[in-house]
Amino acid sequence: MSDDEILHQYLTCTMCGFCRPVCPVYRVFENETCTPRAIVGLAYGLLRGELDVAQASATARLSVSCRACEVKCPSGVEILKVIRWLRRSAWRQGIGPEKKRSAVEYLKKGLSINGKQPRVEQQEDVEVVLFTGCCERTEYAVVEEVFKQLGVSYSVVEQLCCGLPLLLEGLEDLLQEHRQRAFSKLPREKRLVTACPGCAYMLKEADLEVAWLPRFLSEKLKPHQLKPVDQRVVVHEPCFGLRYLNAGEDLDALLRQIPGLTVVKPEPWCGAMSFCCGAGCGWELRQEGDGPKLIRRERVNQLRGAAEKVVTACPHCYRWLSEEVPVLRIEELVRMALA
Amino acid sequence: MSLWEFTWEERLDRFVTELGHHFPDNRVLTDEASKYAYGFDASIHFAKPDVVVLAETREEVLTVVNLANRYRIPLVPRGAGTGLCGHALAWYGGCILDLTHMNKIREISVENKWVRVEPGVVYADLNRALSPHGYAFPPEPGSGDVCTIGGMVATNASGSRALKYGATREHVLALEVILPNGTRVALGSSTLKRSAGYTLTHLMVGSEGTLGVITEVVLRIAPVPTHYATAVAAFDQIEKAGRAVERLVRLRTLPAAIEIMDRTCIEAVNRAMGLDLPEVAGIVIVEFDGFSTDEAERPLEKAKRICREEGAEQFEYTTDPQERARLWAGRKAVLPSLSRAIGGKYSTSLADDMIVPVSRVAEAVKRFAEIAKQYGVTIGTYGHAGDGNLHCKVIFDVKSPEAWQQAWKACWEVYRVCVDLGGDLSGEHGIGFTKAPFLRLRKPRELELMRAIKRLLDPNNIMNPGKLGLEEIPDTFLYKLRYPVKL
Repeated sequence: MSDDEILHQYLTCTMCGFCRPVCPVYRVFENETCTPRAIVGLAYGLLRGELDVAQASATARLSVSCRACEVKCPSGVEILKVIRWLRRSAWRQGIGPEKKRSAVEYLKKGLSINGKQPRVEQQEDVEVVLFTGCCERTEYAVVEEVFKQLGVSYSVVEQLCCGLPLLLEGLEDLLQEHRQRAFSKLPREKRLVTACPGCAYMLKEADLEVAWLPRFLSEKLKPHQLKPVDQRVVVHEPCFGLRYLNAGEDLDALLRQIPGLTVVKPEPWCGAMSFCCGAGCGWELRQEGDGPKLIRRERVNQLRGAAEKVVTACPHCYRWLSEEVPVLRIEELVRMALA
Repeated sequence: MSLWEFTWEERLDRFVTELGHHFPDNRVLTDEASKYAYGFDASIHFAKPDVVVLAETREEVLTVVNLANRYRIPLVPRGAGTGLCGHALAWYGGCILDLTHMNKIREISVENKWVRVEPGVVYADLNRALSPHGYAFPPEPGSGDVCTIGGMVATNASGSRALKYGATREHVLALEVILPNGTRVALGSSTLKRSAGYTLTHLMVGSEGTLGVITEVVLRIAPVPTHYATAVAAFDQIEKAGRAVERLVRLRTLPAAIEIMDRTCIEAVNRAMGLDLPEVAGIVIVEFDGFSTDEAERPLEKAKRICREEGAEQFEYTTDPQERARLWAGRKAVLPSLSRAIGGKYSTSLADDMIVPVSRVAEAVKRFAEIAKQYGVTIGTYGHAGDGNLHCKVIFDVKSPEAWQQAWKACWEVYRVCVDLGGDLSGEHGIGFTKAPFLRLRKPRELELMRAIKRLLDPNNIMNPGKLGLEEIPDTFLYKLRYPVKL
């Protein structure tokens, strides 16, 4: 994004503050500096030379990239682009958390963000390719079990980064290089399936045929296969599924298909305004400070108020929320229904 | 050593040091990013404070006020910073006192029809808490999801429901205020009426933080209607819409709201919010409410007849809650929706909140359109026409000094028209800094009296200086702008 575009975003922003109450970072730190509109103002300060990069990017570096502010903004300010511009400016000056820096270095070397070698199973006679992104294959064990029950043939691609970290840090040049290098390894003409909504978004943006797991399961499940699951659950809708992939309805549809299940949503923090768990598709857990933990505490309080059991459809949300509250993966509910 | 032997920097330094003795580090902000962030509110201005304090209790407020008074540091109380006239900006630097952490609802008394709250409670949160009781604090400002009760009291804020239910002032029963000399005073009483001397609560409402810091508010609450009927009437001339408003207000059943939007606003909202409002010269939204279907819907027939007689091309209504919510979300989003830039031009909060007698609404909107044409700017007009409260947004190339000069002239004309029509400078946003230059259009003796009250209560002029025209009124608002323009 150019300086002119940043200025355009700043001038478009009326500083109305509608973004303020929906921002998880503001809700836990509770001061104006941590609001999305402040980020837009701070970017202007950097453009004007009135702030240095470290000062101007401080709040942008705390963002969990949940995009609630953009959805709420009636002026159409592309706040995430401003955040990425500030983050990129910080990267150029060597400012940023070590955990993110080392991950990007790994990506430059063709490894996963965890420093692992990508593994790509090449099998021609499969229906789909299961894309685990930066998650371990063990985290997909239930998905694999469900696929087998449903008779879905598949191969697996592990530890191949979808490029989301580079997008969220505003490192567009590296993202282009990464896409060319990494995605050329993917089996051609196969539909990809991933449980991670961040991966699904990035693969879709790269014009690959991809289905987020809730959609794929929803397509595959037949009513006669399903037995009642007599449970009451509160659903944590992942930010990346809702506000990046725009696929909230896919998750709702799958939940509706499971007989006997009572699904509640934590009003008003649901649907388009679903509150982030703080993980930011796993990537934002690499930032410094307690922001993600505080945000998780806020989210857990919202969820606990609605029902005892939480269900989600993102491996990162699952892993992060599970540290504080019992969580079911969406595929576990499907397995129960198929039992 | 007397205070005046210290320089400003030395006084500020001592002030900040002493704050550090009373507050943890994370509630006294002096870093550049924080000062810059608090330099903005929803106005056209930018003014950085030297320090920001986040208070959590009335005792902490008292400490800050006493220190500010001792060291003669300008002190600016701030809620959510949604004001459009620069009220919450530190015009001369100094200290911003962020009150959003004082957000407890202390007591809900349905039997006495009031609620007692701290100033940092968000309007929407208060009504969510009142909802299970079937009650609400009704003024409903457009920024209700964000703005705080303290800010609403300080600016006498209101919104679309003020026509039937009144503005904030009509709901304030009692206040607790820390005066600039550190005295804590309780004003008014938690009773539904009162005749015991000056109504000092009313003095504080709309005082924009210039007389003290509000630390507690007792608000009258009202039962929430159970039934609504909302109609949209479309007109091919904005004057016709204005004339319909004048007649709708005279209905025996007073509408809960009567709103007007001109073509510029309608198109902006349709674009931004995906609505399908008729793109005509002007629409009027009229809403009736009550506690039965009959009560809410019966007046619609008369409203329809009036609108048709005044030339409405369409008159459609809904009682569906979702459709109604969508319509109101669109209406509330006019201001920011106008900011979706058109051809390098941006919306600014200029001439944003005039009020005229309801019988002059049609004439006012017609004159605004003529002014826009005369000065080559786009003016979007909308507002709570039922009580004569009109909002304008002036849309122009904010990077052009010439465009600012034209906008400035257009603003003068707009305000002059309103005063000539028997109106005033603000219906619900206040004066702040942006409108101070236009106070000269009003009655000078009233301003003198306001200044005398200010001197009496705040002789050191620490409370929110530069606002409400209480000091020498500048000739122009064209400085400390937040835009990249040199004037």
